[in-house]
Amino acid sequence: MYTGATTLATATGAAATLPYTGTGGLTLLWVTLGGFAVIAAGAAIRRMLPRNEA
Amino acid sequence: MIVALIPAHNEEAGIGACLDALLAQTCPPDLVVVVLDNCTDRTREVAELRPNVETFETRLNTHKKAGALNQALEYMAPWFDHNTRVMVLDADSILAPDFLAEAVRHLDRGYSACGGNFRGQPGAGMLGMFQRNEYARYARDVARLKGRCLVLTGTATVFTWPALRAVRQARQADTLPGSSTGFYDTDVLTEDNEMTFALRTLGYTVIAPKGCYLTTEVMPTWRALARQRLRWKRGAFENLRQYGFNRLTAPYWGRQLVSLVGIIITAVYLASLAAAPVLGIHIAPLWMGVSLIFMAERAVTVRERGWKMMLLGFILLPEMLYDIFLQGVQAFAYMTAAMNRKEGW
Repeated sequence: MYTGATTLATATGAAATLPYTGTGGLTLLWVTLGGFAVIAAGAAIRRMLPRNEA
Repeated sequence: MIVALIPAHNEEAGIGACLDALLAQTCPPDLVVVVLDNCTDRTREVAELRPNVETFETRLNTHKKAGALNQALEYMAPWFDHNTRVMVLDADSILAPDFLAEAVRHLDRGYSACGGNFRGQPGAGMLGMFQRNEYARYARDVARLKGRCLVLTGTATVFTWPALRAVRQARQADTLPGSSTGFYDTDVLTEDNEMTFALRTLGYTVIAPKGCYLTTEVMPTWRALARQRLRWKRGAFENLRQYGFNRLTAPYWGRQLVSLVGIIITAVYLASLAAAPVLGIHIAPLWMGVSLIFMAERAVTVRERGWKMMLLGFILLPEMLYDIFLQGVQAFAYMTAAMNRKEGW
């Protein structure tokens, strides 16, 4: 039922609130979340596009 | 012949509207049977007020909906033939007038089961609104997949009799997981999800076309919603464990993985907010731009519900709180599954 889109938005939020320090675990987390958010953004755009429905 | 079975446990409040919508179908059923399961209210009286509605009373059933349906199907099986279509309908659901006609059209095209696309009924204030938006998005997703659904909903599905019979035969021959030997597996929390797996495992094709539209009740309280979702999430996970990992279940496992990642990310997000006084908040234009995409997605995907709901989706935060609640329930479901704690309805 749950699509996860809003959750993926939290990845964006998390990447936005976590500081990019240049080194260390926090940066790794920042990059992971940011990467995930960008992939999810692509999926979100796809979900918005018109498509023929059954 | 189309036979409609409506399992009912104390449903006097909703069964009248359910039956009226069923009897008003453009392609009405030949037989309507309300399966009275341990009812202590006026369900029977309300049902029998309608013309052409029969009742069947379960005996010593302790397996809730699945057990009630098994008893009714076993009793009626001798009268069914390979042309019989069996509809299973929840007593709190209301069908659109063309539901059955649309379902029959798809069964005639070769599908073995045709499920409904449900929307939420009015009521329950803000909580009801969240659920209606959620249901509308799910229906939109299924429609965009041309009816390829993950689950044949328990709210309303029409089966061909040969498919249902084959499921029972496979259970009796022990070629399906679980220890049940009836039509429905009585040991699971989500019998509709398990039935979908059973049919697809046996090679039957299923669909939930856009035209099979119905409305069903929304949960009136957060506590009721948590109980419902705990059952759904735990049940779906248990069904997957039952059927293991294979080509059929791989997409379902994929969804579980995405959900789990989502839960972890949300936890990180909430932790990062909690740590903000120490770490500081670093809002960057890039991320604000990315957030705008999600805001637009939330609005566009509820377009059919009108501009007010689109605005609610666009604001993001209220629905995000609802989603975080659902994720909390799902995390709890994983935890109870990991601990092998028994869950009931």
